[in-house]
Amino acid sequence: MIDSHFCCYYFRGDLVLGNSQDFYTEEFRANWERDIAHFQSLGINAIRLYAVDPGLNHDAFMCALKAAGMYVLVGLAADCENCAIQWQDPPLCYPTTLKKRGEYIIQQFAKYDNVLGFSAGNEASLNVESYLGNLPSQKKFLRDMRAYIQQCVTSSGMRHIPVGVVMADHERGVQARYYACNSGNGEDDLDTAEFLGINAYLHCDGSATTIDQLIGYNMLLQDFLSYGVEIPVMWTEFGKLFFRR
Amino acid sequence: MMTKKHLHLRQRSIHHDRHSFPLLYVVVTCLLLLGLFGSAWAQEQQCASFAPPAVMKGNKIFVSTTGDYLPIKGINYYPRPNAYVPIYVVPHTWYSTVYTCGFLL
Repeated sequence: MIDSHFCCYYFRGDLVLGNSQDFYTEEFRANWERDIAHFQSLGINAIRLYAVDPGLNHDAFMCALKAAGMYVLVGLAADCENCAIQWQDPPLCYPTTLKKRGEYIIQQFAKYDNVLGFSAGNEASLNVESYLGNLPSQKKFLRDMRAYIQQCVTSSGMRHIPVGVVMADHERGVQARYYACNSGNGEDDLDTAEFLGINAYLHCDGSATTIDQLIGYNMLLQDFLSYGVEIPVMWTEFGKLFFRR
Repeated sequence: MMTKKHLHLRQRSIHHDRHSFPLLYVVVTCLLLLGLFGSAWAQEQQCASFAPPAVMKGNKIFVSTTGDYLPIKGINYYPRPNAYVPIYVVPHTWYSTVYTCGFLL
């Protein structure tokens, strides 16, 4: 039973469907080869992957991206069971298997030169049990992943790959400062995000013709300038919100 | 009747046969290895051409090999069907024949 409309797919932000599928293997070469050609015609130089399965082989996919000049931001968290920081308060929100999963992904992807960084989580503070209650666990996971990379760099000469966090656009000032600051005990700075991603869905005015008229966008820029975080900030998802009447 | 000359030739022939097969194997193996490493080398060269490691410093990202500023412009690659399947089961398997059309065009 195949619908005639269902004959091609494109990347889209339809997160309702879940993000824990990995299509980046030899099996789906025909698809990603076609898509990488589209990436090139778009003039982009990076992609973000939400979820990967570290048990699969990604050599061909990563090589094809590299040949096309594409960097890859790899998510360590996904929406499979116990694959991300959960919504409860600590310690329940940090599944015991998550650390192993993160380390496994790092092991598998560190060999690819074009990995831009690892994201330790996507919107951990959305739908939480209490106000920003699970952020300390998100930060603990970030710390564990950075410590693992540091250990690999020291012991096996692995390339240093930065670990950051992608946050929902909610209490953006509190979250950005929290992730970017060193809240540790002064021994090291491993609980500091090395980059920050923000998923911002903003009110927009369809009649705007200049950047100055894009109020939501300009507020986002001004806000981040005022936070003074000293790490790269990436706009990791974007879209528009409609004014409700 | 086998003369000394014949015997000598025959011995040479046996001697030759005994070594020609391994030699053939060696040549074929070398060619195969050459092909294997040749293609691996070609792939490595292709891979090595672009996207050298990036480094993050301050608020910016740079190319490690040249030190050039690296502005990142990208998309989230999150392949899903455009139509037909409103599936709310997570995780859902996409590896069935139902999706053949959508994924293998």
